[in-house]
Amino acid sequence: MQVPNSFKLALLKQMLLGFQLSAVSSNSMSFHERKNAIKLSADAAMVFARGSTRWTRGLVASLSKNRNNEDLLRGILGKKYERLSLPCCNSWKIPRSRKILKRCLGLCSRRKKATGTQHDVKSSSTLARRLVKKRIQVLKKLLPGGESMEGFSLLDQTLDYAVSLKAQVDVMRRLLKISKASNLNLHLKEEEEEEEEHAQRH
Amino acid sequence: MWMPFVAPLAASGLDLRDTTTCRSCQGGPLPPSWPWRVEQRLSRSVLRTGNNWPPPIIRIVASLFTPSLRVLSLREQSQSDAKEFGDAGPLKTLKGSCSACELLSDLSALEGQRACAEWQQPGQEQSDYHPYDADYCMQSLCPVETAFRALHGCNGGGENENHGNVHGSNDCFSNAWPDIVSSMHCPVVGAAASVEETSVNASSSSSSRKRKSENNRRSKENSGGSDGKDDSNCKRIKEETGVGAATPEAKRPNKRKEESADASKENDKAPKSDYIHVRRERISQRMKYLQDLVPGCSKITGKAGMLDEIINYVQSLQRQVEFLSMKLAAVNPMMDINIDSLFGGREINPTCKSASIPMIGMSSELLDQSYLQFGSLQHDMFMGSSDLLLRPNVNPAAAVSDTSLGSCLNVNGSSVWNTNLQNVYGVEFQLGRGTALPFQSLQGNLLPNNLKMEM
Repeated sequence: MQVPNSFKLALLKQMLLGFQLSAVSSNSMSFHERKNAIKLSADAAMVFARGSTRWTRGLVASLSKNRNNEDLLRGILGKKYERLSLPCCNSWKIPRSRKILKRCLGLCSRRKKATGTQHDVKSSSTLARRLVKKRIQVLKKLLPGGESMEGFSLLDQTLDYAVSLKAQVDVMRRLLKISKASNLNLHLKEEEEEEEEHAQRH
Repeated sequence: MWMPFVAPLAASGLDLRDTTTCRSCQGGPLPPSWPWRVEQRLSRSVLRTGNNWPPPIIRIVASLFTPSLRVLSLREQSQSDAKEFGDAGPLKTLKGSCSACELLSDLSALEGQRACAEWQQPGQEQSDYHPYDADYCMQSLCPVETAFRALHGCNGGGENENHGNVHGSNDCFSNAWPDIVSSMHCPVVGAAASVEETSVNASSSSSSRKRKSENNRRSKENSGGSDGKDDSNCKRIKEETGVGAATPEAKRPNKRKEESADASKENDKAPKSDYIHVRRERISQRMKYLQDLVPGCSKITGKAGMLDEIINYVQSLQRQVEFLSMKLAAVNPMMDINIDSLFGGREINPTCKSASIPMIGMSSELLDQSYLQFGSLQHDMFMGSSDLLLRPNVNPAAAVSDTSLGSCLNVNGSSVWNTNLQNVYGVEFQLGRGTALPFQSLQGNLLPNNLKMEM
């Protein structure tokens, strides 16, 4: 697709490292814990492979809110962890200034309109604008770190995030397939050996 | 305490002289009462006038008065939405996997089935690459782009009133971009083609970049490019040549400059039309990429519809990740891997083009390097399972002869990568068989000695 193989390899490598660090293969973890550890490893690996973007920083921030995850995150991300967990400069000022601007603009436009028309009939453009606004709100919630992004950067980061997610899904799917295949082979070999032993005894 | 709210309330034209008792306030001072109709009118007027009050005040008002007001306003909003916009509210995005199925079925039937949790069938693991590459190559980008632009012209005009003032100044910087970067542009494009193959090797795992220069170059060839496209093309191609860590830093300060300049340039309206144009083009270009990415979106024209599909797609991908992690957790037992010895220093050569023979040759070579001590039994096992994996993924080069180098690389690269994985798994599978030791002992110890110890 659009993702270079090195990205997927890095993703896989870090994910496997994460599995190792969190000991998913031991029997001491419950199913739920194991699943969470796997998911965390996968996300951290994706962040590692992608590098520093706004959505990766947002993802790291949301993942590290949980204290338990911090060790694993550090283990997988290594030196990058410090860099990625720094808040980007003016990350809170920009959305606030935008909101203030929009409010002022809204008030001004409202004052102009208040003298004139009724609002019973919505123009199609207003309708379209509302639709788009709603979608954008939903998208912001979906995207990690999306709350502070606007317009063009939001779309850009969405694109990036979607491509990375697709690669992550691909990697996980292949991993699953391989582990199932290897398990299958394992079982088959075991059965064969049992049969051989059985045959040898008789 | 209620005084600050009197003025805006009065402005919204409500009759405040109704003195029936408020449910919660029990006859206190203003607002004395909020009978149902007044509440309705208030919420409706709040919604209609929209930006009448700043959101915090609306919230405070809603929370202070009867709780039903808030509920009503939300319900009202959703009802009015449903009436006016049809089933187009956020409810749509909360639908289950069926929408994801519809989404993906356009791409290929196999993909759609997979999305509906049919993970098991091996034949379906034809990689997603092919439909994408085929679609991508054959899709003509011009009509889509013009359609988007036309649409954006109608819809974006209104939006830009709100956004343009804030973001208009983005574009003064983006205009500056081509000046800075255009000088690098020409030599870089030529280099990118040859570098692309080796970039996979060259770029370290930590600074890997997406292969979007492919798209950029193609779109440039097809559509002739514009200023906005040149910007992002230059940016992306620059990244592709392995400048690496420098470029994300370069990209970020650029965006920050744009954002910080917003506040200062808000009053400057005259030259804004140019900025708006370039900004619109950039947005339309992003939408185009997203359209290429999200399956089944080539038919959809319209920002809201596209955004809807994007949202559905991202949600479905996130759900797939959840599901796959559940499945991986269920695979029992998961083998530990000695990563450094297997991954470290080994570079994958993605430039081999023919289908199966070099792959299997490579796998036997890799086997010989590290795993000879496991004996020929494992070799047979590897070959058996590597066939299992390689067969669905291997496609004759002839079928993809018209596609670009990148897609070929991806096809073959994935096979290589699978082979590598197979070796990786072969090791621990052997480990798992031989010993009864808990795998915890392998934790944190990445030395290759460990392998021999476990033997």
